Amino acid sequence: MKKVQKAAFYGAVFLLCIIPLFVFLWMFMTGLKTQADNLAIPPKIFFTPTMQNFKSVFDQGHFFKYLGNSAIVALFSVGIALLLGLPASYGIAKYRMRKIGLVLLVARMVPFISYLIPWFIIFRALGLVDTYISLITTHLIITLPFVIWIMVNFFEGVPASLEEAALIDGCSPLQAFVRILIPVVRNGIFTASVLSFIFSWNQFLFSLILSGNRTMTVPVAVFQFISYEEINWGGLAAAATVITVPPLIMTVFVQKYMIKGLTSGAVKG
Amino acid sequence: MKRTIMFFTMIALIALLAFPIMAQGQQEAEDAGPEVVGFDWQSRSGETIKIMANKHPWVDIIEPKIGEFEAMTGIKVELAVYPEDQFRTKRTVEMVSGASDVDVFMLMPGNSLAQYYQAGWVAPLDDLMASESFLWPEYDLDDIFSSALDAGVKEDKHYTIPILLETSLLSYNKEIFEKYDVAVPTTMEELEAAAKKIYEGSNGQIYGITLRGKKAAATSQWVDFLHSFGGEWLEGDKSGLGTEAAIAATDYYGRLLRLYGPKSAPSNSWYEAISIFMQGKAAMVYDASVFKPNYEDPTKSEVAGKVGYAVIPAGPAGSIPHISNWALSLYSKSDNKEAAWLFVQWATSKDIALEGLLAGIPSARNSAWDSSEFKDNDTTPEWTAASIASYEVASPIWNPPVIPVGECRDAAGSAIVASILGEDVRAASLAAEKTMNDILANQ
Repeated sequence: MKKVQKAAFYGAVFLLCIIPLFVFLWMFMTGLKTQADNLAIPPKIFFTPTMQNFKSVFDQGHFFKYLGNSAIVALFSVGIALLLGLPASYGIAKYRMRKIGLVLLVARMVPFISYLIPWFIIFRALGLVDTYISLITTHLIITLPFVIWIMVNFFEGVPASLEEAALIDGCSPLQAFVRILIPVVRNGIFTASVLSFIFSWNQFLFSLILSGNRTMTVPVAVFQFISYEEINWGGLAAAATVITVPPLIMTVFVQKYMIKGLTSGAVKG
Repeated sequence: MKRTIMFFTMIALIALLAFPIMAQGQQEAEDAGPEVVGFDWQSRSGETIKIMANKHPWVDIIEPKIGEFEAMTGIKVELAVYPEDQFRTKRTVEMVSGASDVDVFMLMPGNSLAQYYQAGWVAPLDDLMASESFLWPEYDLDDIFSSALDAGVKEDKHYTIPILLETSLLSYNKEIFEKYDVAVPTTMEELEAAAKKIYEGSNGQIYGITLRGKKAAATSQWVDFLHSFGGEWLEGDKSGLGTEAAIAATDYYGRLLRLYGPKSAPSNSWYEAISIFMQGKAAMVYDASVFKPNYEDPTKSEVAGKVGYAVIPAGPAGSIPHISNWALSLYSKSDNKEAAWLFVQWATSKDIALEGLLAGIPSARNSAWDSSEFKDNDTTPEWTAASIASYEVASPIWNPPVIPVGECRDAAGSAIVASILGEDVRAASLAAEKTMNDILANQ
């Protein structure tokens, strides 16, 4: 009986995973095909793989530079979001200010394009278009509300007695926060960091408008494989595959914590 | 303590406010250069210009040469290239903000000039075009096809300089034509008969023709059928989509695709349409002349070397293709218009036009087509002959000559799709006409 259950479980997992996995696999295969193979109808399942597309991704343009740009923007915007967001969410959780949390979430729900023109005008006036500062600051609108919204749930889950005990034992409030509370909610921090990193990494619109040749990020750079008269499917897919690797590695790395984080968040939420 | 913080905050704020003002002061000082008499490439040496371009084969030609321009003029060029959709998004956002630092951008006058002109985003070029100091004596404005230059005119002023001149051609697979014993069609009746003969002769294995069928995208080729059937986008200042000629054209266009074209027609844009032709699965395609290098590239196309080219077959009103062009414009708020104009002249010079043409980019300059260098190296003289014949009879109108271009194209596009799907064309055309009139009344 148990065996049947187990088989059914893995069968269901397989069915759920097959569609996203297929898409990913197809992208990877497209990156290994020549343009002629990619244009063939019906699509070719068997073909001679070529590394040419992956090679061209790193040869032409400055793909490493774009990857670096994306990494800088994503890491800093997540870092700053944690720096500001953790104390903020602690405050919101402790003093039951859910309404403020909601207001922050609304800021994230406003269509991004409506921020874009005022931002462009401001950053232009400050001479900050095509700098990391403008990109990092704008990406905070993605990462900060997200960090706060997730972390509020975690801080609410921490019993008040834990903090009280720390205070009685002689911690200052700041020490109690850094030494006791932060380690307790670290699963949440991992979850919030990885997810907001991915959102920032994938953000296209801000990067398109506020970056330039110096600070172009990968989602914008990937489109360089589309030209006026043709789409280089192989190059596009190879570049897309390459840019999914960093978030993928990161996810695998902190997956253990993330799963705990995701589920506890879900139950609390 | 509190006072100290206040003090530093104030200082920071003042510094912040002063920064843009200081920057402006500097620019003004730079602008007041020495008065130039006579043309000199070096006259704007030291300035920096920003150019926003669409990822187009033409850009691939000038990009590696920009160093030459910089060396010749002492002007520093910052070129930013984006794929078409992203390019349009970025260009529009920067223009709407009114704070762009771009000096030169690419523009399709037939698509966007009306809007850009009305919004005041493009600078008139006439003073520069007549300037003794800044018009390069060898530039030769008269060498540019007047139809291409005129596409950039609004109220007697020039706003764009063409970099290329496209038209649309009927491209056909000679091998298939021979196999099914079909002659090159010269009238709309012959075109339909040819498509029918090939489609039925091959038991539906080879499509008679492939055309764009995807809503708004289709209108830029359908419009040539509209004109050749005697229709117009506008009748006076009202929509012309519901006239008998327009209904006949839409019916014909849809019928070709429904009966002898690919089933995917309603979702095909140029990319899908020409791909089917390049795989040898369709006998004909009617689309832009710039796709010739794709058809003729054996690494991408299975029909390379087998393609013939002809002007659109004649309808009741004759053969009326269209011309369209990409062009360069100066941003109206640019501080470096003279330097930008020097760049525009260099980038649209005879030499670059010829080099582009040799790479298959249809030039907007007569001298390029006429040069012996091109004639000697022309691998597709049929394309050349058809292109020139097409320019001679072409209409400059391919988009509705109104501001809400996109919305009107969408309206016409729904009638085209209805026709491809075999729905009631008359009802769909009248509905499109009403939609378009509502759009025009509301603008």
